[in-house]
Amino acid sequence: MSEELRLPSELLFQEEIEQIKSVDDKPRPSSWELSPWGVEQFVMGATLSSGFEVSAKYIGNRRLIQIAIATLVTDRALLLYGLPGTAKSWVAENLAAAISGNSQLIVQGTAGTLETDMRYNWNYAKLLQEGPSEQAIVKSPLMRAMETGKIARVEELTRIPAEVQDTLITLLSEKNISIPDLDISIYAQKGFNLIATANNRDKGVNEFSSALKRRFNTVILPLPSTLEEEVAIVKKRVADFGETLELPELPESFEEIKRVVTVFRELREAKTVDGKEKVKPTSGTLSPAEAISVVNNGIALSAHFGDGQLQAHDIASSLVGAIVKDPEKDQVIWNEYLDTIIKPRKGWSDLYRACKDI
Amino acid sequence: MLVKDRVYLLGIRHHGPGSAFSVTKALQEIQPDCVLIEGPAELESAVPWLCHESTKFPVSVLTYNSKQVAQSCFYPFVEFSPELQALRYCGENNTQLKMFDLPVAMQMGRENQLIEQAEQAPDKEPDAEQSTAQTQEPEPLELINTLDPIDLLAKAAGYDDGERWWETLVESRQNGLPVFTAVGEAMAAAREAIEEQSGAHSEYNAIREAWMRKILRASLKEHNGKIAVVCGAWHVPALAAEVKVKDDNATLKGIAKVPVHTTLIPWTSQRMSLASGYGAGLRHPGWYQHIWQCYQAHEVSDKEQALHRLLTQSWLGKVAKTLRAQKIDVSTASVIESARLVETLAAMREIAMPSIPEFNEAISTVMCFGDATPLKLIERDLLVGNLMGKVPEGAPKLALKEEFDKQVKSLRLKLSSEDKQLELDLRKPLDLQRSVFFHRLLLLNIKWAAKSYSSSRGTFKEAWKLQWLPELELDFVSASIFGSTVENAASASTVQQLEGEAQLNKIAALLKQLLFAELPGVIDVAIEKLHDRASVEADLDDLMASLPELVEISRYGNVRKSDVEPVLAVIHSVIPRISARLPSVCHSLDEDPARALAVATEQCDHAIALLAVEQTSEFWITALRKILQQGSSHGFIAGKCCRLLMEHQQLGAEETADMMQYELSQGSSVERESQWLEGFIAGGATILIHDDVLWNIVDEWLRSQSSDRFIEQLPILRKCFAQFSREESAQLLNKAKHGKKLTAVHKLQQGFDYQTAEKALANAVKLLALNVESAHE
Repeated sequence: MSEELRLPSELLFQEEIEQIKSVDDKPRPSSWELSPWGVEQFVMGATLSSGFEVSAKYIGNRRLIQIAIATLVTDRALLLYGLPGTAKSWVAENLAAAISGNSQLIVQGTAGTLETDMRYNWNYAKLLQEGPSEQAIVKSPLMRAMETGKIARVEELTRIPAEVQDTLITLLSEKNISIPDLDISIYAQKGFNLIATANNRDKGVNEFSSALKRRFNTVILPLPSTLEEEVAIVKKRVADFGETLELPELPESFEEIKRVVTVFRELREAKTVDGKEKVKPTSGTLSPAEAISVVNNGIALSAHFGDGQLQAHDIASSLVGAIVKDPEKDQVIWNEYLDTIIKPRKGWSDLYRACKDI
Repeated sequence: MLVKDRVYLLGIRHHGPGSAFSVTKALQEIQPDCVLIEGPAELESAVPWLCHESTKFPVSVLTYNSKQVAQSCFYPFVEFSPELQALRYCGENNTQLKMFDLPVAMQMGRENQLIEQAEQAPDKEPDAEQSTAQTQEPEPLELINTLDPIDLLAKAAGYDDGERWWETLVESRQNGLPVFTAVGEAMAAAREAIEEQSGAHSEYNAIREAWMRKILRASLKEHNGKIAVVCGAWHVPALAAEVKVKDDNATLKGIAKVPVHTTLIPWTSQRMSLASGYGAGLRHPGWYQHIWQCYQAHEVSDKEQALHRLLTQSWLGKVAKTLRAQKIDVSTASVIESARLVETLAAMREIAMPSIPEFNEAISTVMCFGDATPLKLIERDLLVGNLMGKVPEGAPKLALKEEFDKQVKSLRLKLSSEDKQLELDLRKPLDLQRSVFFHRLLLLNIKWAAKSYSSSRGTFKEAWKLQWLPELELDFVSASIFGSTVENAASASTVQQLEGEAQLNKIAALLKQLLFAELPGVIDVAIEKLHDRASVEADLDDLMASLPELVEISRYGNVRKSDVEPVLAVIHSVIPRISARLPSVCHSLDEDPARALAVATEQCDHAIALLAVEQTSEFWITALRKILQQGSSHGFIAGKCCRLLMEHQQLGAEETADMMQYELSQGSSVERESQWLEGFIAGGATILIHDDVLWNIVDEWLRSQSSDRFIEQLPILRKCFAQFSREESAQLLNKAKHGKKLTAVHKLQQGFDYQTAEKALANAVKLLALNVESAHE
C-alpha cells in the first residue's frame, strides 16, 4: 500500500489505462498512448468490449470532452476555463494521463512564477564550475514535455504575471525554446501540446492578452446543469475520498449529499430547485468542489466523533462555513433562507435545527 | 420503390438538398413519360413562372379563396426543393407533368364544410380531427405536422438530423433509385409504427391520398410508359397500397369546391424556417442552401471527402465574414484551426459529414474563446439567412401590387426582409413623395412601413421603419377590391371608412392621415362629414377630443400646402359649442371623470392658444371664468381654470393669490382643497420650477399660513407633492432653499452651449424674418 496521500491519475488508474490500451485498435496520433476514442472512454467512463468497467472521471457533457480531445489532436493548445470548482484541473490531469501517461509535467502557476520556471533555469554550482553547458541547464516541465513529445500542463494560468504568460506566445507558435547562451534550440517532438487551466471568477487574476488567447482553443467547463448530475459528481468524489481515508462505508449518506447540493444550487441560482420561489444569492461560488469538501468534512466528523452515520448536525457547521463568506451580508441572507425555505420543507427539520444551533 | 413495374414512387423530404439531388438523378435514370408531383392542381398555372430563368428563390405560390381572401394557403419553393427539380426536369425533357394532390378548391371547401358542421352542432364535442382541421390551415406540402418521418428514421439509425442521414444514404449508393426503394420500405415500417402508437389516422390525409390514387390511376390509363411520382416519403406506403376504386370514391364523395385564385409571390428565408411556424419548414434554411450550392459546385467525379472539405471550408469562411461584419476579430489562422477541429470532431464522432453541432462547437471554441453568444449572430444571418425571392417580370400579379412595385421602384425604395430605418426630410420632393406613399399604404392597412419616432424633432422630419414580410401580399389581395392603384384604392377604402364613422374625433384622425396621404378628393368628403357631425349632435367629450386634432390639421395643412380653410371653419364652429357647454358639466363629477375633463380642458386650451384667433379665444376665456366663478365646479377643473387664466394673463398675480387663499381657506372641505390645489399645479413640477410667477404665488401663500393651519394642510400638500418624481422634488427643494433666487436659470448657464445656440439663433432669424442687427441685440 502506497503511503502517498494522493497519487497522480496515471498511477491511480493504471489498470484502466492498460485495459483500454488492450482493446483500443483505433488510429493513434504520434506518441499518444491511446487513440482519441480511448482517451474519451477513459475520461467519460465506459464498459469495454472485454467487459472491463472504466470509471467515469468527468460527469457532464460528453461533447465538451470530445472538443477538448480533438483540440489536442490539432496543434492548438487547450485552455480549460470557468468558475472555480468545475473540475478544470481534474480534467486536465486525466487528459494528460491518458494521452501521455504522465500528468506531472506541470507548472503550478502563482503570482511569483518566473520566466525561468516556464523556460529553463541554471544549476549555478555547475554553471560556475563548468561554464554554460547543457548539463548546467535545469529544464522546465514545459521543456521536458517538448523534448519527449508529451502533454505539458500550466495550472492557474491567470495567476501568472502577464509578462511571464507572454513566454507562452512564441513557445506555442514556434514550438521550440532557444537557449542563446549555448546557441541551441530545443524543438518540440510530435505529441507535444499544452493544457492550461484558468478561472474567471477569483479576484486579483491577470487577464491574458488576446495574442495568447488566440493560441488557445477555449473550452468552458460549466457548472453541472441538473441536480442529479451534481449529486452524482459529489457522490463519486466523496466515495473516492472515503477510500483514501479508509473511512467506514456510509451507505445512508446519499440523502445528506442531495440536501447539501440542493442548498448550494438554490443559493447559486437564486431560485428553489422546483423553480417556484425566489432566493437571494450569497457571495460565494458554491461550486461542486465546495459541496464535496462540506460532505467530506461531515463524514470525517461522524466517523471520528459521531455514530458513523452522516447526520444533519455533522454537515451543518461546514455547510454554514461554506455559505457564509461575508459575515454581514451572507449571514442575513442565510438566515432568511433558513426560515423561509428550509423550515417549511418536509423532512428537513433536523437540518434546520442543526443549522440554527450553530 | 416500384409498383406494377410502371410506377416509380420517389419518396422525398420536402426542401431537402439531398432529396433534390437524388430526385434529379433518379428521373434521369427512369426517363418517365409522365411525372406526378405532390401539389394541388392549381399550382400547374404557376409552373412556367417557377421554371422561369429570372425567378429568384425562395418564392411561394399563393392560393386564396377569391370570395373570402382570408382563406389562403402558401406553397413555398426554394432552389433545393425536390419538387422544383422535378419541375425543371419535366421542362427540360418535355415530359408531361401533373400536380396530383387534392386541389386547393376542395381543401378549402372541406374546411368550410367542417366549420359549418361545427356551428350547426355546437353542443356536441367536435372530435379531434375536426378541431384540428379548423384551427390549422391546410398545408399539403407538410408531412404530418412537425413530425418529420425522415427525422424519425434518422434517429432510429443513430443520426440527430434527417438531412444528414439522408445524405449518407444518398452518397453511399451510386445511383438514385435504390435509395428510394430503401426509403419506401423504411417509411412503410415507420408509418405503421407511428399510426399504431399515436392512434392518429388523419382523415384529411386519407382524403388526400385517395385523390392521389385516383389521379395515379387516370395517368396509368392515359400513358403506356413509365410514370414517376414525386411525393413526401410519408405518402409512399399509401400510394403503394391496393385500395379499391369504390372505396376511394366513397372517401372523396361530397366535398364542396370554392373558387380559387393563384399568384406567385416572393418569399423569404425566415419564412422557410421551422421557427416561423411553417410546418414543413427547415431548422436551418441557410445551411441547406449552402449544402446545395456545394453540391452544384462539386464535380461528380470528385471524392466524397473533397465535397466535405469544400463544405467545411466555405461555411467557415462565411462564418468568419459574418463575425467580422459584427466587429468580432477572426483571423485566417482561426478559420484554418476551426476547420481542423471540425474535421477531427467529425472523425472522433465517426460521422461522414460534419454538421451544425460540430461547426458551432468549433466556432465557439476557436473563434470566440469558448463563448457561445456570438453564435446567435450566425443563427440569424447564416443558419436562417435573409434571402428574399423575386418573381420574374410579367408573371401574373395583382394590378394593385404591380402598380405598387412600380412606385417602389420610382421612389428608389427596396423591399427587404430586414428591418430598416428610414429618415425622411419632407423639404425634399422625393422624401415628401415617399411619405405620401407610406401614408396611403397605412390607409390601405398594408403594414410595410410603420411610423417610428424620429431622433430629430421638428415637423420636417419623419422616421419610418420598413420591413417586408411575405404575408403582406395577402393584404394587397384584400386591398385590391378598392382599386387598382395605390392612390385610388386608398381613397376608396377611406371613403368607405368615413361613411361608417360617427365619432367626430375619429373623423378628425382620418382627416389628418388623409392630409399626409394627399388625397384631395377624399379630404373634401371628410371635411363635409366633419361639418355634418360637428353641427349635429356630437357630444362634448367628442368635441373636446377632436379639437386638438383639428387645430393640428389646420397647422400641418399649411406645411403641406393643402387648403385648410374649411377645417378652420369647422374649428370656429366647434369652439363656441364647447365653450357654451363646458361650464354646465363641471359639477357633480366623480374623481376620474373630473380628472379626465381637466386634462381635456387643458388640451383644448393649448389648441386654442395655438390658433391665436382673438374672437374664438374670447368665447373660451369667458367659459373658463364662468367655471372658476361658479362655486360648484369640481376642484380639479376649477384649479386648472385658475391657472390657465393666470397663464393667459386674464388673472393678475394678486388676483390669483387671492383666489388661492380663498379656495384653500378654512371654510372649504379638505377634499375640495386638495383637488383644487392639484388642479392648480397639475402638469407637474416643471411649471412650478420654471414659472416664477406661479412659484411666488404658491410660496407666498404657504408662508402666510399660521403654523396650526399649516399642520392642518400638511396632508393635502403631501398628497399633491407626492406625485412628483424624486428629481423634481429635489429641484423644488433646492429652489425653496434659495428663496426667490432662480436656480433653474443657474443650471442652464452652467452647461450652456453657445455654439449650438448661435446656430439655432441664425435659423430663428430666418424664420422670423428679422433684421440681423435687431437679432444681435
